[in-house]
Amino acid sequence: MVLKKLQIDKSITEASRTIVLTAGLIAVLFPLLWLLKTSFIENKETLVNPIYWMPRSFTLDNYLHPLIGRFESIDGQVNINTSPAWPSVSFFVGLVINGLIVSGSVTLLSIVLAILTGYGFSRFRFFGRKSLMVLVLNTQMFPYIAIVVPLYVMYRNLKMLNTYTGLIIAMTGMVLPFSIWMIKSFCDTIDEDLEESALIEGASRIRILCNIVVPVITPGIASVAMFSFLNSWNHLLYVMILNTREELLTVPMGLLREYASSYFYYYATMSAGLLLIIIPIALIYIPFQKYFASGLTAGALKG
Amino acid sequence: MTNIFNFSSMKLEQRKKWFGILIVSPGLIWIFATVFYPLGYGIILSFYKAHLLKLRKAKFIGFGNYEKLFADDYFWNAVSNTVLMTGLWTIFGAVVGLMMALALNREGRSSRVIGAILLLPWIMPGVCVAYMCIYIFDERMGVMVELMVLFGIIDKKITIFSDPYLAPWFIIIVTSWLAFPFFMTMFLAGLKTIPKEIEEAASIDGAGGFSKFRYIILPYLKSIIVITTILSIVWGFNFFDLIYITTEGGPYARTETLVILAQRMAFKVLDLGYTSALGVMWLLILMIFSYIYIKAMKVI
Repeated sequence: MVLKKLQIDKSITEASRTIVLTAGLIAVLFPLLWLLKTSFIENKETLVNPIYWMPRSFTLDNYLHPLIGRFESIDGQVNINTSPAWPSVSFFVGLVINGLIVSGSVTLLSIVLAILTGYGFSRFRFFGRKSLMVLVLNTQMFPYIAIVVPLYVMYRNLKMLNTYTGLIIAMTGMVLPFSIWMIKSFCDTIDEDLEESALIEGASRIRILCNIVVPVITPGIASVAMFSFLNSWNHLLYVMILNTREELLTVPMGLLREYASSYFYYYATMSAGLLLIIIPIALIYIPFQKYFASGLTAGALKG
Repeated sequence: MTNIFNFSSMKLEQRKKWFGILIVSPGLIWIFATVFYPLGYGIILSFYKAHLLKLRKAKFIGFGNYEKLFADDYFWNAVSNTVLMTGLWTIFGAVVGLMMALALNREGRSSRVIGAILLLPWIMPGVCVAYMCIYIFDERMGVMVELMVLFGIIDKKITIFSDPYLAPWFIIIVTSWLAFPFFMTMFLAGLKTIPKEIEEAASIDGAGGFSKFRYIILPYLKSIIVITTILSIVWGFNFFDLIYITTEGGPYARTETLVILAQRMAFKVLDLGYTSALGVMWLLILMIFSYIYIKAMKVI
């Protein structure tokens, strides 16, 4: 009797599980697949009303726009759109280079600073430690706009508007609190014994940090890297306010510049561009997924 | 008579303390310079009549900016929009995320692969999502509008972004789509901490799906639910890209949230005093909000 009920329960669970996951997959994948389909049809075909559900044309030209900057408008005019900062590559590739410069620097800086501060918070007791930690955690609550508007005024006085340095400094400050939090939680979970015995054997604290602690918290460092990179790569507001010069645009701001203007109705071209931005992020991200999730929960569960 | 900064002459405890202070300071100085200092400067600015291009002539006006803010319908509109929309997309995102997490909570390759795919919305750049929406919700060429007509949600093809009733719902739905993977990840991590034996014991005792959920799963997830919800609200208040690109706060400011209003006041109206006062109020709202929320959850 009980067994039978269990079996029925099980099949209901199984069925609802399938339904929920199928619905989720459709909701996530349908828009992306539609984008994929559009990226291979001609711009003309996106203009029909009502829309064609199945593609009726095929072309690879849409990908030429992001890759080499070649763009053919509907009346047959051909433009070559090169990057203002790196004239030998397309506008898009230029954005990616700028983005790598900014996000790469932000990631490196935040890793180094977060390891130092997070480890320090985890291991050493000193006056004001608790309140400083609370202060760092509370920065999560701060509205970006209340920080970035005064920052704009400060940067203008310091002549740091429209520089990589300014943007990198500001964005590192943006991702640092959460990174510190994550590293601190990771350090809390590892045993202090190894460090103590190394200390007794005469190793300096810096060496202990580099040779013993860092290898152990690699998953934490990986999640900090992912978090910092993704956040600075995807962030729009700071760039929009601190960095508006054509030569320095990062990916989100560049897309805004590109699509808000001339190519607005060239949806096939746009789809190809968007996919070329989305796919690499997904490919980099999926192998790291495990670390990312554990880092987020370690940070959030033990705060 | 050597100075106190001579590390080698100090006791081990003392040296340990100083080393701690030494290694936390670079990160803290960085945060103070890029977060707290601007924030403090913003608080000072909020008491000045400050025009972006005439900052040298800024004049102290006490609480003038706050009076202006409280008298401004746009501010109250933005507050209610932000609270309503953030609240709704947090609820939707959490519910969908919880369902997905429950469905994914088992070993095996298929769960891992599906889990990875379901995370995609969360890692996509906000700007890409916004332009994707501009395409798929396009009045004439958009596939979503076509589907909405097909399913009878709307009678005929219309521009969603400029429809006063549909525009907020569009933002809420798309943002839930963006946010649910975050809840899913966090809840899944929480579910994995539930010991298998407890669940099995409950099943054998005849606990149905719902009571198992209510009495076993929910208590385990409680702290994660609190934390994810607060984080989601905080991030939701800062949510900018999608609204800015698709509706720009319109139509009739129906989707204008605090961040959109602040951006408009700072860089289109150029009134820095007002923007700073808004930022200060926002900070206070968020702090009260999360305080009440934690209290409320403890009562239950």
